[in-house]
Amino acid sequence: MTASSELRRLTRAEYTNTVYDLLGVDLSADDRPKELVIQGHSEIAAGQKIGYEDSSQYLNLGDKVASSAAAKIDADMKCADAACYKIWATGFLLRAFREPSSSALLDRYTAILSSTAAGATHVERVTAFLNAVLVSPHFLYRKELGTTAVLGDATAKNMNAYHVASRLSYLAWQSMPDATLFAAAEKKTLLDPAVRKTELERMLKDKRAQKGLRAFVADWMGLFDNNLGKKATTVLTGTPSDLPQQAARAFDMLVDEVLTTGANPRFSDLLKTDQVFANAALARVLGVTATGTDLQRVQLPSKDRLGILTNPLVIAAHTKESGTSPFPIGKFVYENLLCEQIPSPPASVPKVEDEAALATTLRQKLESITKDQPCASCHERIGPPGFAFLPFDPVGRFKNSDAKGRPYDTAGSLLFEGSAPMPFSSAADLSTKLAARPEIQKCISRRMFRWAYGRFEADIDEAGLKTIENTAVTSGTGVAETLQQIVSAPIFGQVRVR
Amino acid sequence: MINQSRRKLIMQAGAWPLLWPLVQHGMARAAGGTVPKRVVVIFSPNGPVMERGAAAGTETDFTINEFWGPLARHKADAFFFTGCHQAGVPFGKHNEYGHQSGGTGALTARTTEGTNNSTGPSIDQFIGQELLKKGIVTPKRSILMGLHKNVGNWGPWYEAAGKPALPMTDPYKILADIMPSVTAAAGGNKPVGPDKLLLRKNFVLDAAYKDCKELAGTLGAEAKTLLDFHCSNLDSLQKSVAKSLEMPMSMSSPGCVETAKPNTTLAANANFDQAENRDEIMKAFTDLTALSFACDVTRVVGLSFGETASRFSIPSKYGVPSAAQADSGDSGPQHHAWTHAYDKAVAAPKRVALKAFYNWYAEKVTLLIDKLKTTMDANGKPLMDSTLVLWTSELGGDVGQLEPHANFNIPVVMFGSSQGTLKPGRLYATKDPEKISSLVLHSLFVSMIQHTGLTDINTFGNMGSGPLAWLRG
Repeated sequence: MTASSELRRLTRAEYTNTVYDLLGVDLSADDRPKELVIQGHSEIAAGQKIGYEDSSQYLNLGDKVASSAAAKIDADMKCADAACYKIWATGFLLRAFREPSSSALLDRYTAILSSTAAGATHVERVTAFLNAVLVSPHFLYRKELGTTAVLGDATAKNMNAYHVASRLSYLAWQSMPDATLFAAAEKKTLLDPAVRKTELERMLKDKRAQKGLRAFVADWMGLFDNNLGKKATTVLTGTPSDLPQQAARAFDMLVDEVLTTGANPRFSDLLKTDQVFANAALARVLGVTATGTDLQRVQLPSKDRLGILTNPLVIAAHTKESGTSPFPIGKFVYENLLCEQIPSPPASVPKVEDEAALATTLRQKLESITKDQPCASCHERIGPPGFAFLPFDPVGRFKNSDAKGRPYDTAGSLLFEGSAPMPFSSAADLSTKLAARPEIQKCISRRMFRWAYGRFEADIDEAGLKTIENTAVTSGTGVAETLQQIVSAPIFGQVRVR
Repeated sequence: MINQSRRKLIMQAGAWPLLWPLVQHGMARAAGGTVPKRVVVIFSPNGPVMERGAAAGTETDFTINEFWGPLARHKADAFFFTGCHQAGVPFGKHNEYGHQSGGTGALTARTTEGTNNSTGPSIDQFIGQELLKKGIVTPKRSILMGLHKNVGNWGPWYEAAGKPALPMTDPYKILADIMPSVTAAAGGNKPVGPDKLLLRKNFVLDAAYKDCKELAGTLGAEAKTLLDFHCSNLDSLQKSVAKSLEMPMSMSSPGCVETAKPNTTLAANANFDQAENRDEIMKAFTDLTALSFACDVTRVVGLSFGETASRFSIPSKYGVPSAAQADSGDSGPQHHAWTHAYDKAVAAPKRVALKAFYNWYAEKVTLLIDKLKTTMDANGKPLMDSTLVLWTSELGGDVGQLEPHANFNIPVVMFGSSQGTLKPGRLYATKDPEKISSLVLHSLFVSMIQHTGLTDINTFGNMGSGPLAWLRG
């Protein structure tokens, strides 16, 4: 039995994009309430509680946005009486709450615009109105409420067309529906899978689709925080002070480049791309050549570094503040790229001597203490892909040898259930070979399903999900086609309720 | 009760007649004790490893371990505990090692029960929530500050089951958050109108709460539970904001003084996650704690030196030696890296490092106690007279050990006499962990809860215990 997704709290990206599209205010540099990461996913609806401090943060952010936008809204509104307010509020709340408001709700909000308790001046009342909207659960959650029963599936209900429109727009754009989608929702044409597919094609041509793809890739790569600035001082020495910001921008540019250009791009192409974006400062971290402060596309010169798994942003997300972190990286490879769950380590782990005192290399020592059960069952899987990344420091700089000058042993094999081990020689080789594996295509499809629905798959979903997975493997479906398969499935118009 | 002259001023502002029912509602819920009782909960990560606890000896004749040396000047105000098993972890029936069980249970007195998170709130959040339920309303239910945000899970702070609470790391933002309440409390007699921002927030929260309750009625059970939690927090926040509008409190405190910036030389755009800045950040946090209490902005402060398994460092001037790369992957002058340095050959520098960390933590705790002793409350008494300060960790240690990641021998120190009702200056050294030591900390938590006026609460966490009668001498 899977959890309900009737209410999906906006993620930080969704909140930021929605505020921007609604009111033109950019909050991307502000602290925003964080989503809870559940089994490597940020979009699972069931665990996203809004607490006391979250509420306080939303209130303060809402006031900042409202104060910034109120004067212009007031000027554009051109209203002087309650009837006019109501007409304006009807249209505004449709966009803000992503559905028509009940008459009671509309009356309540309209009253704010003429209430002296809300403010002494009209601009102050508009400010209160906007802040109330931005703090309302109708704004902070994506509502996916059921209306009518689904024949033959007692746990599912059909959604109304406005909620389908939101599901579609947040999937494609990570933001609210536009006027075209609202119009389609009003006509209920979005209940037709073929119409949804057509709308998606339109939406993927819009620039906002980049935000949708970037957000999915960030979730896939476990980029829930930008950890580049959180490394130890000794590690950050020699890096630019704005490394986190520069690397994030460069990462987005790379995702845009790979996924929105060329014919039939696939998410797995990101694993084997030999391109990076860099300026002079970032180039020194990446070991490439670039000049100036503008980020530019650079061809990676060697096979030491390839694809986004060796990107500083990704390395930083899965490493500690200093040293190397082979097991967390190996765990990330299995969980996020292969959709396998690796259990947490036992409470009492064997000790290992400091690397400086080791006669053997760190890898040899770690392998020797994890070769027996119960450690081996997990470490024979997560160890080799983790050791492939030993040459990378916590901000993604590459070096060939450890502190004692011993070359890193980065070769190993990735184990799969039901098929032969996959040997690799390095992180770059691992990335290249992973990009071609059917398991990767299946895992991406599975993660996209969870991304679209805000929940883990239930048994009843498996048949449809396997169809998408198999098509991805056998037909080599790309980004667009995978999304089209998802939105044109009947269940895209349904919600599971508990 | 609200200050009469100030209420008049607010009413003259024009908005008051319509706002009054909201604030009156808040006031009705604000009835509480006349003398505020406060708590500070301090968490330091990774444990002392090579030492058993802060003190050794008999109950009344004991010496303070050199790791905790700076605490000596407050020895008479402290309760020291050694040999205690972590609360929430029944001896012999649960994982008793590791950062996860230690971190998620240290302040919640609960286990994860198979999840990645604790199954209940931490003691600071619990007290803040319960005070509010009892109508003891302050502008902030609680304030949680932290020196270091860890990137992983297993933190000790929780609002509720499965809902971690994240410490604020920027003293400028913390001050900005409490500033309207400080201004209202400190400047209550000035001829100013009500704070427009607070009025608007109060109005906005009232609207949001109505939306929340209406929407909750349309949902399935699971989504309704999720939204009910949100609604309850909107309600709590609205009560807090309404409380700020009632300011000044019935008693104004000489320690409640408006300040333009936090007490730090760091600029507002400084990196508040860097080791070199931590002396300055702690100085600001210490003053913010005293200011919050003196203005009765809150009764509960949580203070985190770093989250569980945190790669925590202190400024380089303290000379912490650098650890070589350990099995945990980290290295350098970090507390966690040294806890994973198991080689006997590095036992000496390891002890130097761990002592430096504990001396630093202890010095900061001592400075906080100093501040609470020298800042006066509304009765003209030191804040410390009515404050209990608890300091603990997720892991323990023992003499000469190199590798314990144990959830027993937890180092615990609590300061304060709760207005003379408790008898500090004593050591509780238990040697019977199998039977009672887990309950000792449960009981200690209950005593802290009851100190704040919540005298009908006799249990906290996953085991019933009652208060710790020993504290009374």
